[in-house]
Amino acid sequence: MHIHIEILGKSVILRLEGRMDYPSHRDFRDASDKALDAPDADTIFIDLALVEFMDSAALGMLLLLKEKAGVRDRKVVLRSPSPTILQVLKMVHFQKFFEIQD
Amino acid sequence: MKLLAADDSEVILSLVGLVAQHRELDFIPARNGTEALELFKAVEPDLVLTDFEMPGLNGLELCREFKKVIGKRFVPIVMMTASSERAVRDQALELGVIEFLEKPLVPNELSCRLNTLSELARLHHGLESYKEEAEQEMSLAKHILERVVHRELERMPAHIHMETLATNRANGDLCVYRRTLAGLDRGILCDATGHGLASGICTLPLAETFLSMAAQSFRLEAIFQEANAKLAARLPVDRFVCTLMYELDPAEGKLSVLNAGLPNAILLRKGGSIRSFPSLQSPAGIFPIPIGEIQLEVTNVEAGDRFLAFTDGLSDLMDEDTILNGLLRPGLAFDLMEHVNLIASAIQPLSDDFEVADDISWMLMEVPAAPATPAGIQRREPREGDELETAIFEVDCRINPRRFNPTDLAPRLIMYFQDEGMDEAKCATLALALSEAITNAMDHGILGLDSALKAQGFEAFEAARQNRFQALEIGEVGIHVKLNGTGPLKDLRVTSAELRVWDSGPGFDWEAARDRPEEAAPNGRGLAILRALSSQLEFIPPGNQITFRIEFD
Repeated sequence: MHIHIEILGKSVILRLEGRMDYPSHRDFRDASDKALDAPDADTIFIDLALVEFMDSAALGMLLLLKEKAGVRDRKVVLRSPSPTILQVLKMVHFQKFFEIQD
Repeated sequence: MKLLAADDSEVILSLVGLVAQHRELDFIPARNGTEALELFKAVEPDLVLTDFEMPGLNGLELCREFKKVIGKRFVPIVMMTASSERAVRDQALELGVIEFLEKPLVPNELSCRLNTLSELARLHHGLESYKEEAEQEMSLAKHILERVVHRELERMPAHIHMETLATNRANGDLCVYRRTLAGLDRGILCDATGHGLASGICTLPLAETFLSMAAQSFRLEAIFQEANAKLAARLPVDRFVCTLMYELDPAEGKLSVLNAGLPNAILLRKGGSIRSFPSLQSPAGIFPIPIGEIQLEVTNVEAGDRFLAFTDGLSDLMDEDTILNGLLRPGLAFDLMEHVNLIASAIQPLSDDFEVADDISWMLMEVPAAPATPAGIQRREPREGDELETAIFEVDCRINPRRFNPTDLAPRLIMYFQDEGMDEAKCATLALALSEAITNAMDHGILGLDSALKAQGFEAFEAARQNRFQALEIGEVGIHVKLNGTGPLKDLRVTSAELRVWDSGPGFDWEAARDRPEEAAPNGRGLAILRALSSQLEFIPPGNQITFRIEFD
């Protein structure tokens, strides 16, 4: 999976591309840590538009990021999931834990 | 580390000896092939350095002999050759030689090579013992998981099949069946994040909670709430367990499904219509969920209806259409084992082709015909000459149902009796009677629901129950349980139970209800059960209080 980080003022955007599964966990953690370290950011957007597959390990990574972000008073927002990915998120009712934007 | 060096030249051996000393390797010299082989067997060196041309066994033959005795051990072998013997290198490689050193030996090069190889040997040994440890742990975990699951799967009735197919050596999926004391079929499918041993461990608290609570009359919501809370407390934040619980009541023709994170379960009715059961809550282990927010779906079922549920390992392999038409095969005659084989053979080639990353679990059920009498019913009439009884347990309570659910008390009380050694059949009878009486008190006494509403479907009844409960302002339910026993103090046996359940509702015309034949009031089953179980059933006017007595063998 490719991860592109962009910092725009108070927002950090992580654009994910490809398959999000267990082998991606180290890259995702490194990118998340960078995002969390950005000094003025208050919201981390995870852009899922180019994510073609997510497994339960990927869902776990998001939960872990949310916990770390919460400790630093930051919000995590999931953005632009494809219909397939949105279906996965809805099956586990992630809308209860994350704001999901188009 | 032990270095075995075989060469017929003393000069070479003393050079190697010096280098070995410098590298802190234990040096074991051999002057010919035969001596080298004997020392190899006796000493079990970690590294071998051997000449090619030697009297007796030459280097190649020596390696061949080593292979016979080496077993699974990894021992790097270095062969010293003069450049004209290059032709034998291929053979040597086949026999386990991993390095060649040209003569004349350069001490520096020898030293570096020996060092690299001893590091390699060390690394290999480390990995081997790590692997052995991991295999032992895996074996232990498998042992425990299998005990949890298989004991129950063996007792599955003929109309239900549940199965998991592991892709790893230990399964991260779990499925368990449990028959309740009152004769209902209950089961759970679990899919923990990831797979293998770590995931299997995540499912354990869920499986254990289910096993201990499911046999009693605990509601599925209560079981899920307890299991979810345990998992949320114990699992790391990125781990959770997608799960589905079901309950089939063949006598009432009722199917209940609690789906937390699994793909839609499918009910294929005999008439051909389909009902899906989507996930209505997040998977277990993320956050505790209050019992009021846990969503269960109920529906009417008839003999011949088919229910299929599965984890996402299966839906990753086939789409909903294929699952429905390929697996459930509406319109075709149904034979459970034939269908199970059909599903298994449909999955097999797909999982061979496709790189199966996920475990697959599934369950298939055909609703059987309603049993003639509910399970657990055993009625005994009091006989002449019965010994005098003494009271050995008595509890009286009144409950505000807005705050505490009376339905949840009965299973806990029965569990107490069971833990205290009361016979399972007696517990089953008591559980059934008490839960029927309390359900009656709640549904009809407090909430004023009419059983006739069930004719419109369990969904309608449940919806009405929810609405009335939310609107309830005042109300009380009372429960009184007394157990009597006989026998010597060392061996008191419970011989009868006296129960009284009352509610603050307006009461009802119980005589009219009694006169209705069973067929006309199939869903007023509660009273019929109580009549079947008890020897003295009485309604106290105005009909909001019931007392009854159960005789035990």
